[in-house]
Amino acid sequence: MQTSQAQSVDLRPSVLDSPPSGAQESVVRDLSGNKLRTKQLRAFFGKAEVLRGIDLDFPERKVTAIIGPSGCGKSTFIRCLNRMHEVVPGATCAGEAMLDGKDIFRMDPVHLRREVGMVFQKPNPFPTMSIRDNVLAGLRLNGIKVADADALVEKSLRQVAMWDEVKDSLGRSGMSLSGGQQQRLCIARTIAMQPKVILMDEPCSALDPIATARVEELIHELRDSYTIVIVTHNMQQAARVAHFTAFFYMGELVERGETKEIFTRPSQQRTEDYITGRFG
Amino acid sequence: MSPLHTDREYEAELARLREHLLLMGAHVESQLTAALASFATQDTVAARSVTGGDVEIDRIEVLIDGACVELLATRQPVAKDLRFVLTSLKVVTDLERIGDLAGKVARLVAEGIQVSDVQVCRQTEELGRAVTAMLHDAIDALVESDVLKAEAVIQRDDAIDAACATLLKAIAQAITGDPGRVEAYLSLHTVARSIERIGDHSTNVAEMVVFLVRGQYVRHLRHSVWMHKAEEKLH
Repeated sequence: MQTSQAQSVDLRPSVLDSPPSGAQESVVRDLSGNKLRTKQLRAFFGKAEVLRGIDLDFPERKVTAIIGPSGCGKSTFIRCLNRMHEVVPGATCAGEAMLDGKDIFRMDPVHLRREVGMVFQKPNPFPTMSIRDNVLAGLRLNGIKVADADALVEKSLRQVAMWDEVKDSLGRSGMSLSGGQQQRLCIARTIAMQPKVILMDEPCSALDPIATARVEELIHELRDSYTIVIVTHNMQQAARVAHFTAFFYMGELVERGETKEIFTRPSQQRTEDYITGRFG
Repeated sequence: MSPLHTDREYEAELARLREHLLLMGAHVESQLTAALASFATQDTVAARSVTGGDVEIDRIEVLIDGACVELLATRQPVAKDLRFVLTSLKVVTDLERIGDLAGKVARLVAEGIQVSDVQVCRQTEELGRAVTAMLHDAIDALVESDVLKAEAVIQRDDAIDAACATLLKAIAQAITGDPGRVEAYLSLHTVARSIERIGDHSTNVAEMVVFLVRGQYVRHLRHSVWMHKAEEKLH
């Protein structure tokens, strides 16, 4: 059931039999070259304000890392970007977040999450599903029919450099894979949805150095096709994979700049103190 | 002043590196002062005692190189810590070269530089004093992370180069006037060139202070900027 020629075929325009709702809406292009941008984005848990007006741009097909101490709001911030924050009881957002010039708070959340995929800290393949079904899970759960599921599975697994490792055992449970492979499977599941943006919330924190290196290599591959936002506690990882780095502290954006600038001569003292380990 | 590093051991490793660097600076400065003093007095015994000073400078250089490699490998320093480690790696090379050049001056003095032209000797001593002050200020700037002092050192380099050029011409003329002492004058020529090179290395140290503090590379920049300014004036 595998199409060996699919490697050279670009499936992107033809993968979906039926376009998702909202896909026909006119898109106002953001002429600044930013795929995603937030303006005065605020987030609350009840009355507690955990994000205090974040203005941040995410250039298209670039990797932006968000760093900061625990509790600074970085995970909350990216969960606002695909409207997962508001799923938490009592959690609310305010301000603007625009994807390709469209206000994400006016979009259908299900459709938004197809365009803005997310990879979590802990690999979470569906335990009862095979590797193949895990790749297709997002599409199936959204009721999207796929013209050539085998080709999509192969393409997605090739993109995460797993095809050669699992092509002969696609029926195996996703849980039978190593932690690193499980995380790459989750990334394959995300990119099978053809998202515009991939959010990664500490994707390597549960992985060993080799698996981490593979995921980082994968980010290098994916950045040519996707806009990536990665939250990480690992400063060196941010330095290795990101074009831009943003430093959050206590719900505020302290500084955002080119990664090489942030890690060699940050403009803000708080950034310097944090990245050099002199905080507090 | 920024707070101390959360990891005390890391802070201590950085402090040790800083101490080694300052110790090396002090040794080099004292080596140069002693070499120039032996030149001024033509004290061959004192000059011979200077030539052995290289060993300690080389030992500290190796210590600093090792500490930098260890910090890079185990701490992955960033921002100002990274700039400090990189500055240390660069500065030790310049300090070590200054030590070598001071040793070379001392060796020439130990071999005897008997010249008849007192004026060129005075000019050489004067050049030596100016360069010693430059090195002193460059090391001070490094100790105090004083970028203004470092910039002042950088600006003095052209005056040193000009003074050295004048001195070398005077030495050439002195050779013509006293061809019997050509070997001694050639030694003096080498002393003058060594002092001028020490000025260049002191400038390098000062340039690394600017990098340490501001994260800006000013190496090779000033000449192109000044040439640009000169061209603008011409037009």
